[in-house]
Formats: sequence, structure tokens, C-alpha cells
Amino acid sequence: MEIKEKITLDMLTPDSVSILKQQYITIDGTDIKVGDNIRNAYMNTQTEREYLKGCLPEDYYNAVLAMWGNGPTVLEPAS
Amino acid sequence: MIIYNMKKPIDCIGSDCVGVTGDNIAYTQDFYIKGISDDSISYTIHLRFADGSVNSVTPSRVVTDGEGTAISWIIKKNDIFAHGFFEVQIEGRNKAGLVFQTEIAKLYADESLAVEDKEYENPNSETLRLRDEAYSALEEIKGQQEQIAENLNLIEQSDLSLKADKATTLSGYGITDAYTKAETDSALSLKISNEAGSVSTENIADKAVTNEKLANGAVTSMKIANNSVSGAAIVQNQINAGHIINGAVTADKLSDDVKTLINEKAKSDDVNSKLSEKADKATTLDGYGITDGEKAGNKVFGKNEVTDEENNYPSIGYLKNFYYEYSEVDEALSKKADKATTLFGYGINDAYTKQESKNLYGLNISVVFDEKFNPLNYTEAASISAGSFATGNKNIKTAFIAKNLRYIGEGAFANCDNLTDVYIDNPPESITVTSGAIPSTATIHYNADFNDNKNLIASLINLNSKLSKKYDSSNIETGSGELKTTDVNSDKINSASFEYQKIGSYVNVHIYIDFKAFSISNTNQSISLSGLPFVCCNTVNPRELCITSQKKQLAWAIARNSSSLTLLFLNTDLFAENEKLSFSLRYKIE
Repeated sequence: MEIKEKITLDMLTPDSVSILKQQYITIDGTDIKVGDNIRNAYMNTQTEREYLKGCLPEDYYNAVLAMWGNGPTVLEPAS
Repeated sequence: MIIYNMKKPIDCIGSDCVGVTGDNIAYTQDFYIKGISDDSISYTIHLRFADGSVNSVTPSRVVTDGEGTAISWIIKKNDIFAHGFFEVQIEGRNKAGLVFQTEIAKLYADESLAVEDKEYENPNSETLRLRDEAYSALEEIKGQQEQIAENLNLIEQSDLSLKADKATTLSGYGITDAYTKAETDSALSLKISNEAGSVSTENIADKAVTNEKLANGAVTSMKIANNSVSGAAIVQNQINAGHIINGAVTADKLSDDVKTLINEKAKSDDVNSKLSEKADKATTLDGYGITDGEKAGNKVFGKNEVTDEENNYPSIGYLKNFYYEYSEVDEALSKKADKATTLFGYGINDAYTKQESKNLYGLNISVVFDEKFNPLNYTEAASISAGSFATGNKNIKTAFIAKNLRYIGEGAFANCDNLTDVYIDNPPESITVTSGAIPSTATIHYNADFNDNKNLIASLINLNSKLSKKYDSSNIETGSGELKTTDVNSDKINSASFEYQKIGSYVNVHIYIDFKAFSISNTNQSISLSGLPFVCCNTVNPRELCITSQKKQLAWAIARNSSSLTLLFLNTDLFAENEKLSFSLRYKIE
């Protein structure tokens, strides 16, 4: 039984995005949700752009970059 | 002389006579224009007479002397048309056009007798008057000429040389188109006398007397001798029925042969007469003159062939195709129900009547409602009494009594102080309402079969209004996630995760952090963990104190407009392996 992952790009702005991942299985043509929602928000910093690239399929990542542009718009948090 | 100072005339005597009209060739009128001395100017003298006629003449002589121009007008017969005062104006032109025009001066010409002059082509006023007189004379002559013509005619009519001498004969007067007595007598002697026997048959040439020359009734039987007219002498068609009076021809006057002919003729006429009443052999109704028959072309075999609704009629085939046989109609009708107003009338047994529907689907339930139409109690009983349904319930505002409830006993609504309306789905005669059953302050409404539904709908609306104020679970989202830290801090944390619950515009996040063993040597050292579920939209950065499982005190904070959690180490501490930190935080996400 194949588990499908549904990805939602939520609250996408030039500075941030909240990624919601949900998993489904299909039984008799009906999608049934399994597991928890997985949600993380990412800021348009250099570090989190790289995080995002690692956790999103390329087409979703490109969709975010279409909004974010080629470079970061938010400074890295001070440590 | 008239002297002009430029345009204005000075030394001008208006009564200057310039001569006599029609005979003024001997006079010369001189003009002198001061201030104009130009050889290139040509002058014209314009005249306007009292009768409105005008004339223009060219001066006879123009001489310039350096200070002015002297102009002489030698007046000729043609120049002046009418005696009396006339106006004079001198005009000068050069090649460019009009350059000079004096003001108008006035001169005078005496009257003269009319003088005929063949050379005089432009008549003056005297000559015009002579011309008018000549026209009058010509009109008079014309009238006289007409009178003369009339008189000549009269004279010719009375000319004796054109009259005949008195005579007694036609020839004496030269009349040639009339007969003399002798000529008339001679002609009449040749005519037939009116006396009997004066005309004999032999004196009448063949065909001399035609039908056209005999008046109707001119020849009667009395005038025809016996046997004088034989059959052979009578041409075909000469004597017809119109010529023979009733009884003139009798059987005894006819020969046997003629009788035979007449009989045969009579038979033939009878047959012809009867045949004439018969139609010729024909193949159509029109051929027999039948107007009330049906033409073959009018018969149609299908509806689409109907072209004349007045005259077309259907064929049997058409009728069979489009109409039922009576037996078929009877059979079809036998399957139909008679017109009815009830389900039973149509034999329908799988549907409820109105009353059955009311009884089966809710209307046999009596309900009481509060002031907001919330149902408080219901009953399916056929009777209610004290304590059985509504007694003492002060929240009851209205009540609906269903059709099946036929008895309301005493005290059924006792102490229902707020009851205002009781709707009863029956007429008064179908229910017993005992005295004191319903408070006198309430109004009873009979035949109110719809009011329970109305109250229930009001109740549903009220319910929806209440529900709209309740929490909507669709706004709640729960889930989890992992927090990431930078490589620099990866030696301090084993794992960092969270669970969240999004409610509307806020999110509650419960954080779990598992530390590695490490030491904090400097205060205010911090670790940043990214990946909270939403960006923090608080207007002020949220921050709070928290304590680890080993009672190390830290502070957490979230920078506004970020999704990173910062842990601030407030003291120098030594963290143990798998020391835990767990806390909850809440922030705004929109």
C-alpha cells in the first residue's frame, strides 16, 4: 500500500513560508489521512533556504523560490 | 461754371439754366475742379432727372493747369431727357478704377416743345410723351379699323347685285336641289295605289319585298288569297312561331305529310328537351356539375397532407393510424380512474393523505417552547392533565397541541405563568379543554395546524444563531515537527521537537529538547533552533523563563517575524547528557 505525501505551501510570503506535510493512503478510491501533520516554518535566510531545499521536492522548492527570489531577504538570527 | 474745391462744389447756382430740353445744343456748361490736376484721369458727367431717368455723358474737353482741372460739357440733344431741375455728379477714373467723385450739384433745363427728329435715337422726356400719345392714337385707329370691317360686312350683305330677281319657279331663283311639281307627279305615277287589287303578284319582282320592308302586322291573312302562298314559296325559317297567332294554324290547315313531320319533330324536341337536362358523360364531379360532393383530391392519408382544413377529409387508413377504435378507447378508459379529489378516489394506496402525514410525521406531537422557541417538552399522548406535560414550567412561552391530543385536563398548564399562546390543531368541537386547564392570561388559537412547524423553524434559527457562536473545529490544526540547530550548536543538543495546535490565529506549541552533556562557561550564551510551525506575528517578541529537568534556568524567546526559537542560558552551568527541557509557548500567527 503506497503512502502518498501531500505538501502544502502555507502562508507563503517573500520572507517566509510554512510547509505542511500530510500523508495519505488510498482505500477504495478514497484518500485516508495517516499520521500527524508535520509543519515547519522557514525564513528567507541563507541557512533556511538550504534547509528548505533539503526537505522539499524540487518543484515545490522552485515554487517557493519563485516568490522568494534569488537571494535571502531576512538576516540570520544572532547567536 | 461750377467750381469745386476738390469734391465740394462752390459758387454753384442751382438755378443755372443749361439750355432748353431737346434744343440745347448751343449751351456749354463749364466745371473747374481745384486740387485735381492729373492727366491720367478720365471724367464722366452723371445726370439724374426729376422723373428718375439717368444719363451719363463724356465731357467735350478736359484741361489740367497744374492747380486744377477745367471740364467743359457741350450739351447735346441726347444729353438731357427731361426739363426741370436735374442732378450732376462728376466722376474720375484711371486705369486702377474710381479715383474721384464730386458731391452732387443741381442744374436746371427749360422746357421745350416736342420736336420730331429722325436722328434722335435716345428720346428725351418730351419724345417719350409723344410716343405715349402715338400709342394712344394707334389704339384709337385699331378700334376704328374694327368698326370699318363690321360696316363693310353690313354693306356687302345689302348689296342688291347679289340678290335674285323676284320669280315663280325654282329655276327662276336658280334652285337646283328641289323637284318641281311635274317631276314629283311623274315620280308618284310610278308608285302603287292604295286601292285593293292595285298591286298584282306579277308586278312584284322577285325579292322586291323583303321582311325588313314590311312592318309588323302589315301582312295579315285577310291580305293573302287562299292558296296564294304555298309551302314551296316559303323559304326556310321565314315563318316562325312569332309570326303565327294562337289558333292560326289548325290541323285541318295542314297536310298529312306536314302533320307527320310535326309529330316526328315534336317527338324529337321532347327527346332533346329531356336530353338537355342530362349531363354529358364525364369523369369528374365538375363534369357533372356536382357541387356538394367530395373530391378525390380532398381525401388525405396523413396529417401532413392536409392543405385545406375546410375541404380535406381523412381516409380510412388515416383514421386507423391516428384514431383509436372504440373498443381500444373503452379499454384505455377502463384503465383510467374517474376524476377524483382524493388519493382513494384514484386508487392510490402507496401515499399518505394529509391527515395521515400529519399523524405519522410529527404533527401528532404536542410541544411546548420557551421564549426563544427552544422546545422544552413534548408528548404523543392523547390527553394531558396536571403534572403530565407542562405543569409548573415557568419557562413555557408557547404550546402546540397536536391533532391527536383531544383532552386537556385541569391543571395541565397550572403555574405556567409566562404562557402566552396555546396553538391547538383542532377546532373547538374536536377537543375538550377543561376549565382551569390553561391560564386565563394565555390566548388559545384553534385550527393552528402549522404553528408547531413555525415554532420548530424558529427554534432551528435560534439554534443556528447559538451554534454560530460556538467554536469551529475546522479552524483547529494539530501536528508536530523537528527543530534544527546550526552545526555550531550540534554538540549541545541531541534532539529538539515540538507538537503544535493551531487554533484560529494562534498556535500553541509544546517544545521538547534533549540536551547533550555540555557546559556553559559564559552567561547570556544562546542557541537558535529554527523550524517552528509558523512565523511569529506578535507585536512584541515573546519570551519566558523555563527550567530543565535538572533545574537549570533558561529563557526562551522568539524573534518577531521569525520562526526560530532562541534558548538563552542565564547562568554558567554544566548540562548532563539527556537533560530535558520541556515547555509550552503560545504566539500569534496572523
